[in-house]
Amino acid sequence: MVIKVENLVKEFKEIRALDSFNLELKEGEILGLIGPNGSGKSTLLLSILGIYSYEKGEIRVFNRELKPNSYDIKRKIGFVPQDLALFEELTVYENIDYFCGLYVRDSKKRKELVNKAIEFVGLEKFRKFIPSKLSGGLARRLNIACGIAHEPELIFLDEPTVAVDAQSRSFILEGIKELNRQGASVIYTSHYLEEVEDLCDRIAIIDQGRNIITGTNEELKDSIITTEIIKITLLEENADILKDLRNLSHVIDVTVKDSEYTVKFDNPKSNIADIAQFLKEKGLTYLKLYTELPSLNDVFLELTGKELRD
Amino acid sequence: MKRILTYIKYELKVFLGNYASMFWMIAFPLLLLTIYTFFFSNLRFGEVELEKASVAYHEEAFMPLYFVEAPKEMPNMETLDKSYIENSLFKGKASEKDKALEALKTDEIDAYVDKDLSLVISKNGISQMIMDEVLTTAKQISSLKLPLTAYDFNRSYTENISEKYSPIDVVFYALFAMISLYGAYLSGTIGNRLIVRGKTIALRYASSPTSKARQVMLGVATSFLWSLFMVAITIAYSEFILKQHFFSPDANNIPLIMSAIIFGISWGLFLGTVIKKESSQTAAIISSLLIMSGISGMFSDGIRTLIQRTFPPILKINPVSLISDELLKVNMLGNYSTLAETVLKLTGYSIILIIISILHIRRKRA
Repeated sequence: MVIKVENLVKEFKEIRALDSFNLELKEGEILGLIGPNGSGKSTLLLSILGIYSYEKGEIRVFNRELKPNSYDIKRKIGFVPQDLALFEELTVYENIDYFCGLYVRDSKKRKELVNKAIEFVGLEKFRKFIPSKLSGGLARRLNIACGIAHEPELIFLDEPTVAVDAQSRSFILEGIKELNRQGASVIYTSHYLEEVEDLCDRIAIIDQGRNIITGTNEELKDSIITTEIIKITLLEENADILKDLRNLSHVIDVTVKDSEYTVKFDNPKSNIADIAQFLKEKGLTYLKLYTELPSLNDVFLELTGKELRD
Repeated sequence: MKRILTYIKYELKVFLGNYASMFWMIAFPLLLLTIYTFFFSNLRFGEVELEKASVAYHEEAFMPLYFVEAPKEMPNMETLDKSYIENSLFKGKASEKDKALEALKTDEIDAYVDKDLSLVISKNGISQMIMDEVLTTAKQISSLKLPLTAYDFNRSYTENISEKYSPIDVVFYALFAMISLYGAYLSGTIGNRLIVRGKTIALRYASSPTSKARQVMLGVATSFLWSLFMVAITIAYSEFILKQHFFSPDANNIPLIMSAIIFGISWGLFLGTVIKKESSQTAAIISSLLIMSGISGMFSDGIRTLIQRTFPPILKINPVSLISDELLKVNMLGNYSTLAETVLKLTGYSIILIIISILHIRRKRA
């Protein structure tokens, strides 16, 4: 286990930022943390990194407690903060060299790592640029390069794609996958559910300082499925079908919009065969017939009672 | 070593990375020195009217005053008239303290020297300053129970004084003292790197395996080199470009300047750690240096005189006053009587400030 958090409680004066929080990160895994602003994601990262002290609970990183002076553990960790953490006065190369130097003393090795990091984030043409001369996306890439240049085994990425154009976002996500392929375990926080779905092996939903649920994308969706929604698009309009569909067993609601019928069942699965049989009996031809799966946003809504961006 | 030098290079680049910083950190003090030279240099070596100060003294203070001007030989103490004294600096007579203080209030006299050799003055001037120095020497001899012959009869406190020293020099030395504390601007940034106050740069440091102690040391080393550079460039600029002689090749300058630089770094470190907002830190550093320099006479020697009249202890504790006075004494008067005390005082201040700063940095874990 790379990280194990047990019953973590972190308070800021009267506010409980983390409440009996539990989390595990397995070796070689990308774990996504999703939750609205103020849910406790960044507090969790900073507590794991040993920057925040905490009231109760236990955090173990690489099977050891991470203290401010656990330098041997810190050497294996890379951190990419949410906001740009760069020196405006230093060039791309110098910024990476500066922060890499906090981890790697040997100047020859550092030079190699810095050049590798520049290549990794695709900033070869910009090595002599200062951050203010880079676009938002390129500056984000530099921010990442500063956190991963020393080739850490464990990487924390705190919303690294905020305010980034589509091209840079895709580049960054591919980069994270590559880091993972190279063996790094990753904790990734984001507001973008599609990113998390695409990137992460497991996802933890956080709200009000609590880990509501952790699991794979499928596990999370399965956890909220108590109904089934089937969508039908017919070749020809039929005036009676609405009534007939409502009379089917287990159907609790039927709506129609733009010639597409939405049929909601009170049981979770295996209704599509019954619908197909029903349409056949009625002699109706359908263009589309499919079960609509819940999205991660539906999971979030179901579990927390609010939209992710509330 | 190479890594340390690389870091120092980066730190300096971050510190002086834009034209505004370069102007305020390098050009501004030199510009101020140029302006001062332009306006005041003609006053420096002009004829200084040494109007005799009018003094009163306690009978027991007669001897130190008598030796302000070195006698050719040891006088006959039994026949010496101790009720009146006159030399090229001052004239006066023995008086009871109450009467003397009254006379001082009404400006009938300029100074009163008490039994314990403490000096009460109504205004500042060369005569009073020299008297103060002589009295300090006399106090030291007296406290060591040395015989009267311990006085340096070969030393004249007044000889050629008008050629060496001008009251306007106070302004210049206060400026030099302020420049010696310029390391405060750089060391003021150390706290922001080490204390997480929502600063993302601090997050990078805090999550790295480089210890805080090492980071402080690197910051301090950079600040020290920066200060040393500023002092050197200022001296070189005044000596070779402005052609104004303020610094003599006296080794006693070294401990004085070193302790001043260390104090400046400690002051910046202290303000940078205890004040949260970066803009407030910079404002505090600028204003504190200007106030301390102003008190010691950087804007006008009149301000210094006013403070000396109204609340003299400030000058005894104000670091810039201590540094500027000592620079003046060492370089203009060749007087080292209070040098060790000043160096110790500055070192003491620095130690206290560093301890507070380190405790603050260590405790600031959110």
